[in-house]
Amino acid sequence: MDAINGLADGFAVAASPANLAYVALGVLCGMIVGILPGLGPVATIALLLPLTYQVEPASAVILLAGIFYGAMYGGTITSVLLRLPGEAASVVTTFDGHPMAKQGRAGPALGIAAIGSFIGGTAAVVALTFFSPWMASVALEFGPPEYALLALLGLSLVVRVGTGSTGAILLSACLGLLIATVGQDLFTSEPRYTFDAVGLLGGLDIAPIAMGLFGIAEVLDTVGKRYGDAVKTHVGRVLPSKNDLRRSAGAIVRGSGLGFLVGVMPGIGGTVASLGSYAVEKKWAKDPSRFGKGAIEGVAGPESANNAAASASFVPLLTLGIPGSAATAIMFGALLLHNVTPGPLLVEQHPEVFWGVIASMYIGNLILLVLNLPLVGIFIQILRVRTGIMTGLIVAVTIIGAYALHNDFFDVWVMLFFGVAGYVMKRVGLPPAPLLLAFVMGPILETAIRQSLLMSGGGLGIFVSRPVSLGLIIVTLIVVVLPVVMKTAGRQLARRQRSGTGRG
Amino acid sequence: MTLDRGQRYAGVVAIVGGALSIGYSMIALSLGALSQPGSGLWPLIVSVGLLVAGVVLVVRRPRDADTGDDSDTVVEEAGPSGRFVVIAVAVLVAYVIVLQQFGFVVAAALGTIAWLRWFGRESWVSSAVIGLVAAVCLHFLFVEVLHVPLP
Repeated sequence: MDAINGLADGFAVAASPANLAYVALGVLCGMIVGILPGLGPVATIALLLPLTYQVEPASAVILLAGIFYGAMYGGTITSVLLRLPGEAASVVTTFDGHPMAKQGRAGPALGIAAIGSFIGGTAAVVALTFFSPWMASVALEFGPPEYALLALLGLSLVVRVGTGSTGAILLSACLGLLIATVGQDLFTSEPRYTFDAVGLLGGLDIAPIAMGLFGIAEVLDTVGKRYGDAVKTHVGRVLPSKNDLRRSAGAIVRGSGLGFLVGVMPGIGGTVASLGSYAVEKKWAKDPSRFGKGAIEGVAGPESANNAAASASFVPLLTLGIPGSAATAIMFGALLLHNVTPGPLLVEQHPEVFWGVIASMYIGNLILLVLNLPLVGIFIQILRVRTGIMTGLIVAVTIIGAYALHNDFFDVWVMLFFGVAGYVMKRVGLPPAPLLLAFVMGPILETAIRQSLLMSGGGLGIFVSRPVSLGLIIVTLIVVVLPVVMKTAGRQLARRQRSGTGRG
Repeated sequence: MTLDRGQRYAGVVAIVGGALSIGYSMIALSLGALSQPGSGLWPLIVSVGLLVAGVVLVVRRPRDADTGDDSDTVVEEAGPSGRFVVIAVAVLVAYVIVLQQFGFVVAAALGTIAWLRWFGRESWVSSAVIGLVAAVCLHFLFVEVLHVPLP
């Protein structure tokens, strides 16, 4: 089978000493930022972008992807021990993981989370291995109308399912789309929104925007704050008992499947996957009242789901060229920097990137399992590094990284601008991720829509006369209506959880 | 500032910005026709979206905002005081200006020392040591290992 051959070639790429080092470095960095509250995976990927300019495109994405799924593992640790989710997808883990820690079962909670994450992540990579070549071959048939609708579907999903109020996400996404139009029009070369500033003619780059929104903005938010909570909980034996494993097995399988399905769809991320899995487990349980009081399934399912979703989100990126999350949007930008365009042709034109990245994810998940089971106690020590020192170093790396993009101070000022803007957005409750995602989707969407209109000679009929595009319209409509129901259910669950655990 | 009020302000700004942008896309850019879409058509569509989002945020009942999920409650944690943030932004701007004038090592050392002293509340000694070491290490990492030219 092609997938097997491809994967074998991929392992040849991923197992080279340099790439092994990159995947190890990536998952290690991911673990660390997952543990540190306040610095998320998106910020870290943006910060490490400059380190990837000089390396092969495959290595660049191997490193950045490692950070992304590594953070999913790391985020669990603080959720369980301190009830401080290191990243958004681990919020659900606090529901049952923290009560487990209070009962002195922090070890098994972390252990089952690591095992579940490994199984979920690996299962999703296996599915990714066989699913994405097929997806890419289907996508080869897509024309501009299908691409326009796919991008639109992705954005609708972001707006409908994202965390935060719909209006706020829509605002953020529209801002991103608008910022993406700055510069010369791709069709007519007319300058748009440049206001005669020469620096804006070429448009804005994703890297300084991402560094500002997710790096500098976070740093500004932590200024003067201290995370003083020392870890007092004793972790103890990490390996779960036979009984724990028996209880969790079903949850891990269901979580992995759900996570993959959710992750494949552009625009829905690990947070939705973990929330969904938690709801499923609670439904499935014989005694739902155990949930919120330290049910191990409530840790196993969501952890498997968010890792599966993280791996699955590479399907739309690698096969359609449509990033589904802020993190994959930056990887999209990283590939473009290397003149590699993600899309259905990627598997043909750059098999080393396509298969190398997939193969590296098998290796990365294995490394993470090893890092997590025996070494969890060491990682907790990272929480002792003082925030001030951390942010000082982040500032230095960010500024120099932005400069190193094109050896131009313009990028540094852009980054600072978006840093301040991102801070203000955070304070007024506008989520930054939709802005970044929309910024990347903007040119894809605009080009596809204009090409479609040119092809059709003016009417909008082209979008409904082609079977695939008609199908996509129907899916989009379903997606816009269905999540209203899902979200209401999710909120009720969250509220019940909160009142259940006595938190306001 | 509560999240709800903040979003309302953001909504007002979006309405004004969206309206200005609609004007810009219609006057300064060419809309073209559906068969020949011009440079202004897409910006116009997006600007209308921005305006609509602003209206949604402004007219929404406060009650709707209260049902926000966990991410909202996380955001609503008390932020740092405004004075601190203004100083931090000033430090960042000064950092970049020094970088342009005097090069990386000087800027990174001074910037990191200032940052650690004021925002990390480290002692002068440890700020100075960490700042100098960090500047030299980063210079070595970027210039020698990664071959990135620095100012």
